[in-house]
Amino acid sequence: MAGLTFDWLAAVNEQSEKNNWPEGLLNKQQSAIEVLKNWQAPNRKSEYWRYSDAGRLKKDSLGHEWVAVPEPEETSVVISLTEQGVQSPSHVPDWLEIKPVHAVDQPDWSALKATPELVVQASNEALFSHGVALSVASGAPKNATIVLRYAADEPNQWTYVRNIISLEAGAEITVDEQVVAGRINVNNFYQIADGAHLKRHQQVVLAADQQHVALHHFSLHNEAQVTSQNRHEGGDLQHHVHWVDFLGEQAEYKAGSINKATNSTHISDIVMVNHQHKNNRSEVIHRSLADDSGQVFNNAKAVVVKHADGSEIDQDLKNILLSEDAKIASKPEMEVYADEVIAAHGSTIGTLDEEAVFYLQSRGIPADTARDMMMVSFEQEALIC
Amino acid sequence: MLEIKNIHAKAGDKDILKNLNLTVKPGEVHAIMGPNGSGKSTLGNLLAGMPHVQATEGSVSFKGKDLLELEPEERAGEGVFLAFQYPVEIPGVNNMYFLRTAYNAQRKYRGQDGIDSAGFMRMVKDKIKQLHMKDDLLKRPVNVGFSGGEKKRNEVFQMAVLEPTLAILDETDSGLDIDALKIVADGVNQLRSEDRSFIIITHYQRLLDYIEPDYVHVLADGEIVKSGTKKLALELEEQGYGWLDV
Ligand SMILES: Nc1ncnc2c1ncn2[C@@H]1O[C@H](COP(=O)(O)OP(=O)(O)OP(=O)(O)O)[C@@H](O)[C@H]1O
Ligand SMILES: [Mg+2]
Repeated sequence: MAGLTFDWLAAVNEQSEKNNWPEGLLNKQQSAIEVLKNWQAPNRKSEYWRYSDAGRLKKDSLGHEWVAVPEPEETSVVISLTEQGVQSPSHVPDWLEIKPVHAVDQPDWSALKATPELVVQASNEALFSHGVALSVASGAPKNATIVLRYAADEPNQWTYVRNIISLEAGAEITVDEQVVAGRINVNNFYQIADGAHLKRHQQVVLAADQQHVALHHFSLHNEAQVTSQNRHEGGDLQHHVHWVDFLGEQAEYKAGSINKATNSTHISDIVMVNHQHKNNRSEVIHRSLADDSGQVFNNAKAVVVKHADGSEIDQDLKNILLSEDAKIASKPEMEVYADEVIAAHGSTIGTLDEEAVFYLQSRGIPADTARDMMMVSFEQEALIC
Repeated sequence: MLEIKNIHAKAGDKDILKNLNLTVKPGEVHAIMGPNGSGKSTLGNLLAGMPHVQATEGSVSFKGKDLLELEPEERAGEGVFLAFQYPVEIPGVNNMYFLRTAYNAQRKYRGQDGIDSAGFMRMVKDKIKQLHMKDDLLKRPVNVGFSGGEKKRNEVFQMAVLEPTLAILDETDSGLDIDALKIVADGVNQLRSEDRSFIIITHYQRLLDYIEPDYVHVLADGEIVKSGTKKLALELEEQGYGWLDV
C-alpha cells in the first residue's frame, strides 16, 4: 500500500513563522500534506527516479563543504534565500517589485496535480516556508540581471523555497540562479507575458556530498521567449525538472543543459514541454558527461496536443561516458497528436572523441589537458547564451 | 635524425606496414609516393603516435631516442610534427588558444618558459602574413567549417609556429589551388634548414616542383619498393605504378 514511507515533515528544516500567512495558503499547504501522505515515496519504479537513488534523500548529514560561487556583479539585483528567509536589497529599482511569496496569489499550476512522478518536487507545495514573488516591468533595462542565491547554512535538513517570477508584457531580463550552500528543494514559477524574454542561467555546482532538488515551471504567453542555460555539476544527488507550458502562440523555449557527474553523483535532468497551442517552438540541448561511478538521466519529452499544428520541436541529447562504471540513460520522447509538426530528435551515448584527443596530443598537448579541452568542446554545444 | 628499421605495423587489426626501412638525416627532404591504401598515412600516424597504429616488429629511433616508447605529446616535444591528411574539427576550441596551449606545452616539455597571449599574438603575426592566412580563421574553432584548402593551410600554419625538427606532411597538397600550393611550399621552404627534416607524402610530383626533395620513395603494400631522386617522381607521374610491378 502506498504510504508515507518517506517522512517529509521530519526531514524539513524548522519552518519560519507562518502566522502572517493568509489562511487560504495555510489550508492549501495542509491539504497538500494530506495528498502527500497517500503518495508513494520516490523509488526506482518511478520513471523519474529510476536512474537516481532516491534513498539518498533521507541521508542525515551532508557535511559543510561547498564549491565557491563567484560574487555577483555589483550592478545586479541580488536576492538571497537562506534557511531563515529572504534577504532582498535595500534599494529596489523601479522596474522591479519584490514581495514575499506568501503575499501573492499562488499560481494554479500544481506539481501535485501533474503527476505522482513529481512527488519530491510536489513536497515543496506542502512545505515551502519562504521565497519571493518578483514582478519585472517592461521598463527594465535590457542588461538588467536578478541573481537568486540559495544560501542556507543548515546542511542536514531540507530547506523548501518557492519563488514566483513574473515578466510583464515586453519585459526582458536575466535571472541567474546560483546554489551557494544548503540542501535546497526549490519550486520556481516563471510567468512570461506576451513578447517578454527571460534569459535564465542556473548554476548548480556541488561539493561531493551535497544535494539539490528543483522544479522550474515556465508559462509562456504569445511571442514569449525563454532562453535557459543550465549547468549541473557534481554533488551527491541533483534532481531537476523543467516543465514548460505554452499558453499562447509564436513563443519559443530554448534550453541548454550541461550535466557532469563525477565520483558517485546522480543527476537527473528532466524536461517536459507541453505544446498545447499552435506555432510554438521548443529546443532542448543536453550535453552530459559521467565519470567514475557517476550517473546521469536525461529525459526530454514534448507533448503536442491535437490541433497544435505548426509546433516545432528539437531535442538533442548527447552523452559521454568517461569510465566503465559510469552510467547514462538518455531519453528523448515525443507524443504528437497534431498533424503538422516539425520535429527532430537525437540521442547518442559515446566516449570522448579520441581522434581529436590525439590531434591535440600530436601538437604537444598532454593527454589530460587534451581530454579536458575535448570535454569543454563537447559542452560548448549546449551553451546557448 | 630518424631511423626506421624493419618496421611491421598494424592499423586496427590489419597488418599494413611490412618490413619498412627508412633513414632520414638532418636537413633532408624525403618524398613518399605510392598507390592508395599502400600505408603512407599509416607510416605518418605511426611516427606521430596514433593509438590505433601499433608496431609489431622493428624499431624507430629519433635523435637517438626510441620514438615508439614516447607518448604523442612527448614526440611533439621532441620535434615531431604531422600535418594530417584529414585535420580534425574541434568545435568550441578557439584555433589561437589551441595553438598557444600546444606551443607552451612544447616549451614546458623542453624546460622553457611559457608565453602570454599578447606575446604569442606578436610572434604569430608574421607567420599569418607569410602564409596568407585569413585572420578570422584563427579566431574560429579549430578547423570547424574550414574549407579543405583552409584546413591544409592551417596545418602548415601550425607547423610554421611550432617549428618542428621533423615534419611529416600527409597529402598537404591535395585539394589546394595553385596559389595555396605555392604558399604551402613556401612555408616548407622557409623552414628548411640543416637541422630540420621533412617527410612529404604526396600523389603529385607538382608539389615537388616547388619543394625540391633529396629522395623519392615508393611505398607499395606496406614497404618501400623503390627509392630514387626527383626523377623517379617524374617517371611515376608519366607511367603510374604499374611498371614497378607492385
Ligand atoms: N584503423 C584501421 N583499421 C583497419 N584498417 C585500417 C585502419 N586504418 C587504415 N586502415 C587500412 O590500412 C590501409 C592503409 O591505409 P593508409 O591510410 O595508410 O593508406 P594511404 O597509403 O595513406 O592511402 P591514401 O593514398 O588513399 O591516403 C588501407 O587499406 C586502410 O583501409
Ligand atoms: Mg593517406
